Amino acid sequence: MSDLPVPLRDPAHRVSANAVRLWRTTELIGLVVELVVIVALVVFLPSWPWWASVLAGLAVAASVVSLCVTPGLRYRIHRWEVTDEAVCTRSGWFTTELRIAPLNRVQTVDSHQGPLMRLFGLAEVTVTTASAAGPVSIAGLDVDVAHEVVARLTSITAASESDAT
Amino acid sequence: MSEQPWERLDARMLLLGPVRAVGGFLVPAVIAAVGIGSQDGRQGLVVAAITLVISVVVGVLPWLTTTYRVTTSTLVVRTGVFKRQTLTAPLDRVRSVDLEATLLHRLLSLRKVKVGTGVDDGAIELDSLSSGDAEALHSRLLSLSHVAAVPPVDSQPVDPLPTDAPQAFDAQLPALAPPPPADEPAQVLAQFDPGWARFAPFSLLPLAVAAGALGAASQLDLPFLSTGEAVWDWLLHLSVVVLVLLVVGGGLLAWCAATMVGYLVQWWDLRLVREHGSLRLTRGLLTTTSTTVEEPRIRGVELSEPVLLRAVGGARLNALVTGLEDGTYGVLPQVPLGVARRVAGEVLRPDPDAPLAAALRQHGAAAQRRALLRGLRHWAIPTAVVVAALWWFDRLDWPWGAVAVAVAGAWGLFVGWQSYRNLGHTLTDEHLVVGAASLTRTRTVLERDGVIGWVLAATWFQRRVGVCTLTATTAAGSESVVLLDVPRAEAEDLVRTLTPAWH
Repeated sequence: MSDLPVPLRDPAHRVSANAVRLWRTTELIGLVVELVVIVALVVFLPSWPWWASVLAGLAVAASVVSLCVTPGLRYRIHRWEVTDEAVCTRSGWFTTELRIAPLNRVQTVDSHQGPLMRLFGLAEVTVTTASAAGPVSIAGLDVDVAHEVVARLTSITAASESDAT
Repeated sequence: MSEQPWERLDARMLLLGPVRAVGGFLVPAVIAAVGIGSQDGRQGLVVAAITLVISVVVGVLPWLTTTYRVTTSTLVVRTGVFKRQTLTAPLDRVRSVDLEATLLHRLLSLRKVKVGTGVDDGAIELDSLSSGDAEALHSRLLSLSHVAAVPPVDSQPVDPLPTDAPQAFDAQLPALAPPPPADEPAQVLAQFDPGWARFAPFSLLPLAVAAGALGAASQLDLPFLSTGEAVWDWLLHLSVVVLVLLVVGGGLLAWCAATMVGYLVQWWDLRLVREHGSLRLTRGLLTTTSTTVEEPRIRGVELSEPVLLRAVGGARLNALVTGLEDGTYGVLPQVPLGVARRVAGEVLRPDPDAPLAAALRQHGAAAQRRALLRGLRHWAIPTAVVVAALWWFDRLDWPWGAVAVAVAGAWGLFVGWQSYRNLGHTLTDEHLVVGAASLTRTRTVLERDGVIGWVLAATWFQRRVGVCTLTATTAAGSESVVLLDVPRAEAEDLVRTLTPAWH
């Protein structure tokens, strides 16, 4: 145990700046869906009490605030780093989370690209260990960076044998 | 490599199949016979005959279609009638070999063999072999799996890491030591004592089951319930005191008897044995089971003392195992704490710091405050909500409501206080020891090398008081060990010490 507590290092890298656009688009789609649902309800429901308007208004307001604030905040908070020995991510605003997996315990390295992510040239890399509780995923990497990370992770983890199962 | 012959299941299993199948078909057959027989007796007989033939065929088919063999490197099982299946398990993947025998199996001296390969979806089953063959297969599979597992240990991969990386990486599968000689005598770690059954009534798990069954039974409109009502009327004429005594006393007696009988049936003749580098647990009065896990797969133990059991000095013991479908391996049921501790010490790799007795480092004032608040939140607030609702609808006088809330609050504080006392952690030479924040005192002892990652999470409330929730992820047991409300600096120290890869 050290005498002077030095805080655990935060991961160094931010995700791609494009990720902000991706997240904003996702939020926007959510908002549009919400509006469509509300309009449909107004049209098709036989009666529309005053408190329903209040609820709908609150929901829309929350979504708009989230649309404006969340993507930037996420970009500022979400960080990642892959060293020769470990992979680490930081995320979360109300609940912050630091996830660490030593590379000699890594079992699989996946990269995933949804349709929206493809539009923005982004990919998500997920590193899993033998524990269901321990996946570390890095969302919003540039595709090139993601490929590089996967290649590096696979070459490092291929060299080590045990995954503690 | 010499071709091994294909082997069949034991011929006595031919009896087993039909008998079981008849049993399975009996109920529908009787129903069909009765239902149809009310109109035409002969038709019922025909139905019964047909079901018998079907059941015999269904019982015989597995014997005809299932064959298996063990080569030097794999276990191959061929099975299936229309869909032929060949299951191949490399021997170095064999994680566990379990034997099971119902009463019927035991009468025919048969054993059902289950081979687990660490894949989550299911084990390879052979139902059934003769008990001798089953034993032989058991020891052959386990000893061969050892032989097969040795090469990767000898040819240690070249360490790709810089040399200043501490030796956490060296001993990756430390317990995969050279396999002990096959003729090493078995070492008995625990032996059943019928007296242990005295702890059975102090476990509340069966109570929930019993209550559920009772509730379900009360839903049925059974004929004897009218008798019950007659008894009830008679009871109502007795004085209230006698009535309460009768109900409580009778209930307790029934409870003790039922749980103790259940305990004896399930755990009779329990033996925990260490042989050929594996732990083997055999138990059971009617249905006997034998489960075996390789010791290198055991990453730690979990000693738990639920509050009632703890009051009478009992505890239960699980091993945390990797590569099992359900990562916890029940080693001991409710037994005296001393026995549980001793066996846990035997199961764990030797550790001079005695992780089972070591004092835990408590998590401090902030954690205590949070534990008390958590107790209140879980008990007082829901009670208050219910009381308020009842009072609103005029179903409850407010003084009684106040009493209920006060009692719930006191209980919540007690739970919080206990859970804080149980909460803690320490690090020994070989193990991470964690006490969970709950009314049940649970001590999890996990090998340092069993930790395969960390999640350090902190809510805004936790950050305000400088604590966090540290989760050590592992492949064994429930796959994570949670340290609640650890002071941030201590959590980071733990991470740094156990996983020097990130600092």
